[in-house]
Amino acid sequence: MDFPVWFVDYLTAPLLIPLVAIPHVITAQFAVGGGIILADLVQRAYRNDRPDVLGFMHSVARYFVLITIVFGAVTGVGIWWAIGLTSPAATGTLVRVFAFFWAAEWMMFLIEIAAAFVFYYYWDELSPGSHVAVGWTYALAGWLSLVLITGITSFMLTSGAWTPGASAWTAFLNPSFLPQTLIRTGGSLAIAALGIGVFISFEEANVDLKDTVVREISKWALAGMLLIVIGGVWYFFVLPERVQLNLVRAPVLLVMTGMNFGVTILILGALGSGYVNGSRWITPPAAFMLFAAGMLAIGSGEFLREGSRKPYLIEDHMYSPGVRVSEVQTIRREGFIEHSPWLKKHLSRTVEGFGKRPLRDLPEAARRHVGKALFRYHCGSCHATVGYNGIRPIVRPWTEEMIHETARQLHRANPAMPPWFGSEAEREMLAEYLETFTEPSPVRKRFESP
Amino acid sequence: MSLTVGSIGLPASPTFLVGLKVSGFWLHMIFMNLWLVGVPLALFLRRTRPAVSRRLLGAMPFFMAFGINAGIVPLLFIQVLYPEGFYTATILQAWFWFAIIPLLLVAYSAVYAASSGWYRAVSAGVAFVLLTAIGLIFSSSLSLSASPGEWAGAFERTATAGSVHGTHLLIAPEVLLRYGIVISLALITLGAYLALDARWFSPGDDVRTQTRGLPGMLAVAGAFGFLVMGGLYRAYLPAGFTGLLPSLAAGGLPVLAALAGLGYEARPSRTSAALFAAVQALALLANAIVRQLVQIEKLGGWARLQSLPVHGEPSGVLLFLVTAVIGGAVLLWLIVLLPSETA
Repeated sequence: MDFPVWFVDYLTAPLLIPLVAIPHVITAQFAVGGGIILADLVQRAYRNDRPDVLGFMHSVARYFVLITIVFGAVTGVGIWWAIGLTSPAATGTLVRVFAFFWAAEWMMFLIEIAAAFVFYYYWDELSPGSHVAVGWTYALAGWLSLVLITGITSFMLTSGAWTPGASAWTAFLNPSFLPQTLIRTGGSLAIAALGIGVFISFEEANVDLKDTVVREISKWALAGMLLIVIGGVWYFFVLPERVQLNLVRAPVLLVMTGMNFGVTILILGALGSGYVNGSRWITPPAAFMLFAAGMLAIGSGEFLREGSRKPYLIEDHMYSPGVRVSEVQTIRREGFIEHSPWLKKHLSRTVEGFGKRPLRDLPEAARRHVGKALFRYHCGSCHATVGYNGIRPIVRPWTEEMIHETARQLHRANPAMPPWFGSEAEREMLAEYLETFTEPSPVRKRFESP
Repeated sequence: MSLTVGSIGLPASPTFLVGLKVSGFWLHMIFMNLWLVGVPLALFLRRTRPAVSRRLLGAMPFFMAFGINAGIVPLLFIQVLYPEGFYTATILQAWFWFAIIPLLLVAYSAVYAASSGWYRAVSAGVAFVLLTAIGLIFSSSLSLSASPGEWAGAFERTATAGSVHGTHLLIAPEVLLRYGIVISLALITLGAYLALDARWFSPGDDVRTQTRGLPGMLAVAGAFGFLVMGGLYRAYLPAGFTGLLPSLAAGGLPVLAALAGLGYEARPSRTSAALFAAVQALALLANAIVRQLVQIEKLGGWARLQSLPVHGEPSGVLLFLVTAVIGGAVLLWLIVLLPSETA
């Protein structure tokens, strides 16, 4: 715990990550899939002499470049902002392990930006062959950037054979890398097709154009859905057992899994229908709803991936509060506070007698203050006091014995929680602090009455 | 309070990583200079030199796209080299640091709106205000990351129960002077860009005519500002950076660039424009190097880079170098493609 903790009550600091990350993933996947579909449709339009399709794709490209370059770039960098603020130890580890993979990804971004600008702004000036070549250059660079980042994010969930000191390739080519790449590639094609579907839904007057585009994008999207299904099944089988347990045990994650599955089936049906029956039923409201469903699928998928990873930030290497697995025994022996310099400095300054006498000998108010600080450092990465995963409503009906025992056996009470890291005395401080949230509730009274 | 390294070593030698960081920051500075003063200047010139104003605003989305992209490189390597400093400082100022994202989204969108002619003045005004705020937050956070002596006080002032609220913002003369130095350099960079654009890229005579006098004025204003701000900033530099030689090295190039700008005004030509741009590019590179040396010196008592363990592997570096070569080739292809296929 080398860094100060930024405690954001009601939300928890890490919940700020999905606020940036989910919009980014939706945009980024739209960018990757859209690049592939744009290049293909433009190539076909030139080949089949379809100026109407070219004109339509030109108008799509305008918004495509705007959204992906502005929103995609800024939110992508924004994820870095957020994870550095909320999980600095994990971010610092990832950055050191994967520095040159990220640098390679940066180069892909540079190619994407240059190619996207040339593809759109010189639409009418480039020869068809060059225009298509630029389009496929963008598409390939986009897909390669997806591959590179997937290796990094998948490593956090399934670190595989990696240990500190092992090759970065061991980390990158981890068990869930390939299945996740398939899922993300498929998701990119699907969301891009749905997004372009929104645009084409407005072309009600030009039935021929609409039919052509809908059939083409449906083909890509169906291919994408197939990749998602294959990747998804493969993914489930490479997930560690504790992750599978998290998925079925946590109600929110279970609901999201079901939602993800249901939305996938819905979109599959709609795209299949579009491919078989043509475009007549795709009205703007239907297209928007399908696109929204696609965004929901991506968003819930990201939430699932992040939530099921707990209690780890990096599997088998770092727990959610930023504590390395290898340091847990030492921290238990020497104390959590001893290994959190910022926390220690604060308590030395604010708690009279801190460091001079045992924690248990401190006055009651001081013990609770220590407990509150420990809560923020040990538990605050997943629990607000009140709000997201709020600890107050969770422990409110508990007895003192339940709080103490749960704190002793955190990882058994909920497999998504890490084990208690600190000393026995520190655990007691935390428990005393949590006891301040308990009060006789109607539920508790019912069980306590004779 | 000492800084810890953690169990993961550096992925390559510190010298190589610092070189990449400085190179990336240099590229970022070029584009950042252009949008930082280019947007307000375009706003200011919209009635007196409308062709220049429109052309400048039209180019802004490209500057921002490439500038934000280039900014990834120093951001990546400062986290590799100085995670303790960078993360600690940004956590202390968390809400301000986090606010950069929504501010940048709005600013970037405003730049696009201004370049498209959609409420041009208002959009450019909004972009200018937000980009200035973002720049100040950056200056503050990166100043704090190199000032470990400030962290404890910032922590105690903004913490409850040992955790911070993220509401600290370092506003100090040093921060404002660093920002002033950036603005001063930016004026010269913009002057060089306008000269280069007028002589090499601009299709029409109106831009060339309306540009006249601007590059020289901007260069002189920028050099003057740099000397004033730089002179005042010397008080905050570590010992060893305040002697005559370092001062000449740091301050000489912007002055040379300004002279090149005046030379361009005296004899506008492709050659003089290219010379102006080249000298200013060198000035920015020198500034990036000096900034890095100052950072290394300031953090030297806390994290000696050369003593950090290195756990690199050639294949990782090779991956980056291969993609860099491929990327360079693709960019070259695009640059060659455009004039050969466009009117």
